[in-house]
Amino acid sequence: MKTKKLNQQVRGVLTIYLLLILVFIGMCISSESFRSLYNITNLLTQCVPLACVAMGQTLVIISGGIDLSVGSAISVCTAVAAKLLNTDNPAQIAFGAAAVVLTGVVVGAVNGLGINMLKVPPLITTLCTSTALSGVALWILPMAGGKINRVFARFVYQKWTIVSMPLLIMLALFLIMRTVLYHTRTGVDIYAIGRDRRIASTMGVDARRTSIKTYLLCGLCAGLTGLLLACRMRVGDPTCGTAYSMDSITASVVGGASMAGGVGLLSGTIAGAFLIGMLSNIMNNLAVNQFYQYVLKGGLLVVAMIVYSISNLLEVKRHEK
Amino acid sequence: MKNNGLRRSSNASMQPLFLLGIIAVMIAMQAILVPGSVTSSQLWLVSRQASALGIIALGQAAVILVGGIDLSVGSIVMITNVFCIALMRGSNQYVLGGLAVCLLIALVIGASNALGVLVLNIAPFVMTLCTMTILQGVCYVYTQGAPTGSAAPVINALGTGYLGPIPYSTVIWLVLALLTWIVLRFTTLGRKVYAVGGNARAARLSGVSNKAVIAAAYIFSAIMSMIAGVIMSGYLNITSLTVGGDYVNNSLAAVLIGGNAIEGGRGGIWGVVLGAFFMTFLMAILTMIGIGEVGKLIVQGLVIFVVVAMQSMMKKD
Repeated sequence: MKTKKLNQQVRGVLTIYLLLILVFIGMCISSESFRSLYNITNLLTQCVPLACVAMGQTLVIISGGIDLSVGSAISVCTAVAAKLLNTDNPAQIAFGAAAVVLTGVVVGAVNGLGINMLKVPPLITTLCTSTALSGVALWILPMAGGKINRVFARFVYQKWTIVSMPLLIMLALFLIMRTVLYHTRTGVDIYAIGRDRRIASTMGVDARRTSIKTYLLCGLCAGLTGLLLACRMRVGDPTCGTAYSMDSITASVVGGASMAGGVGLLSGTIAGAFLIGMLSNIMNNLAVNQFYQYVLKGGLLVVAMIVYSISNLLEVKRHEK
Repeated sequence: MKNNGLRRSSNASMQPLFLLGIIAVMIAMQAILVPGSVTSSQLWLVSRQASALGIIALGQAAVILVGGIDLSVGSIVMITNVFCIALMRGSNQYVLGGLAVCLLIALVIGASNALGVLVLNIAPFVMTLCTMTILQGVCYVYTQGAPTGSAAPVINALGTGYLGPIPYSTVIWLVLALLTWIVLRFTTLGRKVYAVGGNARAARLSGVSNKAVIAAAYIFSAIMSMIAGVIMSGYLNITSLTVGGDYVNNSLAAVLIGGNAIEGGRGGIWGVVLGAFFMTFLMAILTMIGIGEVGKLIVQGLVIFVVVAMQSMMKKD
């Protein structure tokens, strides 16, 4: 039963990858500036922040929760980065970078504790932290500014052909998250509490602890994303994260995660994030009015959802036979 | 059955009282912090500011009662604002036509939300997120990011005028709240809303057509947001592409502060009305005592969290 479910999920993810590759090949054929090596390297690098934060979001969604605060958390992290990384002292930079990621983890801890200890629904807890954090970001850094050490920023955003440092960071994060989700007890617990929290609890899963862990990991991903964005911009921006809350949810859902919990794969999320990132690159490339991006993003999500619901229907029909 | 209904009503009447207590405390605090500032005209002014949010929250409450969620409310306000002003061209003679088009748009949006959720089986959060994004795009594309024009005088009067001491928009809000309350409390449709949200399967087995009830909730929510959009158009007198910004978060907060359960099936309307008033009043007080944007955001986040946490603790006992 479980393997069948998993197979179906894998098939869904393969569909998304197929779509991704089709769009990519189509663009390579039709646009000369798109297929330049420079643009492709750029494109892959651009998508990394969204992919990183979306992986954390996926974990939370699989566990049956939702995290609307990642966007504000990212903003806070870039603001912290702008304050702490404006130095030439290597030790201080290392400390600063760690502090930025730790900020994300602290936000995750607050979310996790609020949701599991005070029993406030995930939606409202993360909405509140999101509001409060957007205030905190503006408090640390009233407007975009500050400075990130140039050597460090250049190191983090180092690009070779096709491969770039952010891409490697994302890959490392993916491997770590993958190990957690598929090869540890915690991972099994995350899927279990997402499918049915009460049944999981009666089977001996510590639902609270598992749920808190997902928010901690999500915060970690947000912190890392904040660091990456800060290095990309080389300044801090107290509002730069805003779009990431909804975009990360979109990426997870396009990648096959179910809002009901218990379903989702990390590789699907990465495909979802790259699809969203690629769309905006394509629009810029084809010089389409930027405002159409909203329409297309929404349209992409609808299409993805329709594909999933049709494939689910077919699956049900096959079982009935 | 009757017993069950009574228990629900006693539960539901607790929350508004709790919230009323908090609001009374806030009024007292305001009187202490800024002596002489508490007047009835100031409270009516707050209620006018709260009216758009309050009306949206009524729709949001209905959707949450049937176990859904509507993220598209803010962008419906935005698109109503855009079309209301573009179609009426600042003249009274186009008002009816403009309103009809806005109503049609709202109906289409509500119906497509319902279609996505019910027929395509898309999670409400995702489906309404889609409509939200698409509508934002439509607004930007239609106005090219630089809207012009002003509202028709009638609409402007609706947004800014007074009926005696009471602003028109407050009157509309309270009348709509009353109507919603009557429908939820005294009609079979209202019973069905609670039944579907409480236990969809049991409702279906007892002969409720769940899909019709859920579709009605989404369409109701879209129409409420459209009415709020018309009121905001009159109040602002221009098209603003940021008008819908906070309504999604704030309407959710108002509904949950009002004591309604996010899973659906539990809650009432007066808590939601007070929730919307509470949110606006909080911002008004913070502005009055001179707290900046930063402090407002932080306080708002903390206060909503504390209120909801307190309610969830009270429920446990």
